Amino acid sequence: MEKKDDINQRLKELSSRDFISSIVLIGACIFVILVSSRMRVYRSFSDSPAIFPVTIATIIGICSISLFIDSIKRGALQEIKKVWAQKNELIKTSALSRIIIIAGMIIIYGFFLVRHMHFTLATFIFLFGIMTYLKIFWITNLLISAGIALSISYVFGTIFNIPLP
Amino acid sequence: MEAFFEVLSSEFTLFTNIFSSVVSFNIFFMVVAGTFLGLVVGAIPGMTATMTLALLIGITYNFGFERAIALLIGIYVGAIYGGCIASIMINIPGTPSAAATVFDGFPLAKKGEGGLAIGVGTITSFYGMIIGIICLILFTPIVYQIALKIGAWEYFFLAIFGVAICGNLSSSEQPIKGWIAGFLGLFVSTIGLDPIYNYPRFTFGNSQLLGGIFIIPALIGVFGISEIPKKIGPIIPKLKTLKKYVTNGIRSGLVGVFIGAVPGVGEATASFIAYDMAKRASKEPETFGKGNYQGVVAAETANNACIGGALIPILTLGIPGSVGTALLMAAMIVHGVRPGPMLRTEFPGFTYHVFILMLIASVAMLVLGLLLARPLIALLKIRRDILMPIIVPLCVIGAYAANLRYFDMRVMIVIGILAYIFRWLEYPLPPLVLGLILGDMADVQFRRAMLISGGDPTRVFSRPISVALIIIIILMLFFSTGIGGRISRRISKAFSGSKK
Repeated sequence: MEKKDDINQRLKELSSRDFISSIVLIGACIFVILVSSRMRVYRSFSDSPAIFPVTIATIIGICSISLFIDSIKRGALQEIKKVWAQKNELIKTSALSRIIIIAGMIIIYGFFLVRHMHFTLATFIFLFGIMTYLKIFWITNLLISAGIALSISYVFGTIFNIPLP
Repeated sequence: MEAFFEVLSSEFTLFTNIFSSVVSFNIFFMVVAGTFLGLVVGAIPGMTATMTLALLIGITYNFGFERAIALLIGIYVGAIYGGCIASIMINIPGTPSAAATVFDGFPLAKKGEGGLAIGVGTITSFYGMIIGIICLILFTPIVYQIALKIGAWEYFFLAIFGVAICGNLSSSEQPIKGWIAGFLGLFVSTIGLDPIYNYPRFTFGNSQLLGGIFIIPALIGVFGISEIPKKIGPIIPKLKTLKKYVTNGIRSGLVGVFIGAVPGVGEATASFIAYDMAKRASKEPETFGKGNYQGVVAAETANNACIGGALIPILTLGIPGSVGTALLMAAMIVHGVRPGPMLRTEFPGFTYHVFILMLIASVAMLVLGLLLARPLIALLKIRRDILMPIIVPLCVIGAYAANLRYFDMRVMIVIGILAYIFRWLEYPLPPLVLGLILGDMADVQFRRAMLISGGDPTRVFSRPISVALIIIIILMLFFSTGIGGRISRRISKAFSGSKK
């Protein structure tokens, strides 16, 4: 019984996220159906490029509406008010800032560094930067970053003969 | 009767001739080396069997056919198994086929039983291989007949069935979120040029998107880095423990072979279906997803048995059963062997050749798997704050190497971030990946089916296999929702009450 209560409590806490995600998904489905309706019809709609995405979007839309109704039944509106009241504390949590910084570093590495400099150098800079942020002792950090960047390049580029970015 | 024995005797002579020609040091070395390479590659997050096979087909061109095919079969078998190590220890399936292993493998690793889970996974993978090999030899003609009856509608419903099952499995409290994730995967696969008219869909003028969202970067992006369990525990399970898994193993092995024999479906669907069947057959279904060895057994036996099954349509029809076998087929063609109905005439005994290579690879997989599990886990046990950044460049290489496109790297990163948001919203990720894998097939087969039916979808009801699949899907969806769930709980309560 206690286990069932735990599940219900967790589902109640999740209701605000389900509410928001279902609205976003319903909007996305409408958008997909609108874009698909402008696609070219060759012989008939039944074999047109639009039929499969429209079918899938309709199914996702129905599921999302069901999730939306279910989230309201679980008390999504009250949960949203509760979360909104705590928004400042949530933004300040170190976990959130850590995720944003690490994601930013990965984006810089994947979108810019790898594209504009040698893979080994880009990897070294990325590893050294991220491990500095993660507070790894600088000598260990330097050795690991250089060692890993060189080994990855050698193993994949030279031994496995895989083209590196 | 005499004719039967004559055929049997000539087949046996052929088998012994092939056996003596195949079992040489050179071939044996190639299979073992391939299995070792596959195992290591499968265990490294982001490096898949498909990618390694794709990269090595060109390299093996100068090897000669026998050695090349030996190496590639070894890699394929090793990598399909190797994916289980990463699935269990770091919650990242090395190959899509190991996605179902994550459900119970990782919770077991978190409990400190990762070693034992790998041991069980290794032995049951071997078990699955043996079932697959036996079926490859014995049931090729029968499955050939069944596969011939499968048409466009059946392919489409098999894809939907796979996605729906996966959605159910990965989110038992909210299956609807699993289905949404699965259908989103199917939708994402429609981005790019449509496969029939080459019409650009959802590219919004971006030429890079014309090629679509490639599965490897998407897969690498979707399965982010989770915590690395610290305790491994023993690896080799007791014989008494293994006896408990025999029924589940045989059932999952046969499911693997059957699904493998259905062209284009592959190991991922097989492992999910076997997992679902094991969960339904279990007396403790609620323990699945929380660290039940039967889940690991079902997924690992099915995906390895699928290799044997997936080779059946290649050898008989020239149609690959999975992406991995499609690459094996490409390698065969590169070396002048065209699989298909004429194979038995042009290359008599080729099936035995494959059978022997797979047998050697299976034994090598078992021995190397048990011996190397600990060092491979040690590789994955490096401190998380050191390992996590190291995995990023590996993912970047993995995403880039298959198509040599910077765009794929970006897709991997964007999908990774979106997957993180999905994880936070508590949407399961395995159905998303399965949807991505099956999307192309579902799209093409759905439209082909509509064309054949002259735009009339009701004609699906004239196909018994499709009708059976539709009924199964509807029942499955119904029993996973509110009213259906209550009915199924009442039925199971009534049954358990009558047993007491």
